[in-house]
Amino acid sequence: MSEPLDIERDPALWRRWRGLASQAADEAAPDPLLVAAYAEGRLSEIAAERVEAWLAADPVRLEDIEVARVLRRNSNLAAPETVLARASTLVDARSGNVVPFRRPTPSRSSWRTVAVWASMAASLLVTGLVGFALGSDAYTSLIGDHQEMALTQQLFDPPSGFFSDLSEESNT
Amino acid sequence: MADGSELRALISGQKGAWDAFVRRYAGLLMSAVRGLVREGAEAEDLVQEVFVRLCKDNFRLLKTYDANRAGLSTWLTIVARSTARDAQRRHRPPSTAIDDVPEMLLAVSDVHHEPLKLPKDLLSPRQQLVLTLLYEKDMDVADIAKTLGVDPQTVRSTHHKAMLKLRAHFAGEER
Repeated sequence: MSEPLDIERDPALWRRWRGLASQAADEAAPDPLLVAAYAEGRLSEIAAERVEAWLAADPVRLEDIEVARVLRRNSNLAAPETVLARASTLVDARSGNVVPFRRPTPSRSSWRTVAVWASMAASLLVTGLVGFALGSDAYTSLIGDHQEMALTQQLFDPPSGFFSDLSEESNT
Repeated sequence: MADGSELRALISGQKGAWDAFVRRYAGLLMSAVRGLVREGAEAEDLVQEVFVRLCKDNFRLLKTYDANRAGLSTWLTIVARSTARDAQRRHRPPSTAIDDVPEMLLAVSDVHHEPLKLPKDLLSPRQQLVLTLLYEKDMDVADIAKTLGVDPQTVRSTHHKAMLKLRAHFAGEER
């Protein structure tokens, strides 16, 4: 049984409820297949509830249902050639595979990786040796007398000689 | 409508099947997004986006389609509309930064707001939808009946039951 619509009171009551409900409503979009089945009237009343709750929360979506129903009856719809050409390129002709949408990250070859690490190690070694040699030169110039250096120090401190010799040779 | 074997060929990545699919459904997708975006380049970009969605990740979305549950053209229209609405949301102008809003507008007034006390299932989804269509979309009973695929008497009855629930709810709150 139903009563006639109360034009004055019912909308106000609905808006009051709607105002409160909208604060709580957060309907996630249902699966497009479920929406499509609803548009075709294939769902039972219980199955339709999920779609109807979503439509009630976002009534603009009702247009999608209506458009789907209209287009279902029109099978001959043309698209510009540019659209066809662009979409066609999405699947690769040679392999039949989908063209990747992200540019693949270039894989670095193993020899290049080895070269990078080797050059880093070499530069560290050279920097260490030069630093050590400069430090030793400064140390020996502070001491002043090369003869008084301990044998062990001479053994473990060849770079000082290297730089000293160079400077001596250049002087002669 | 594409039959099962055509769809299987399509999903297996056959170029010929893909091209046939594009030729058959590009026009439908163009029509589906019409009205949500401007005609021309914007609509064409959107159709391309739909095709990309369909074949992305080795046709993941297309594989979810089940011909026993809905027609392909209906499903594609829903997917296209959803893609168009997502694009609309992305291109929506950014909201105003809080620093740009005059302080006066941000002031909190000492007004008592109605506490949120809603029984979760006060109205069924269908009752909510009927009231939404009646009072927000200004549709008449006959149109709602057509939209929902029921007879007008069912719409009136749904409306009546919903209003009884709302009256009872708010009367109880005011007591």
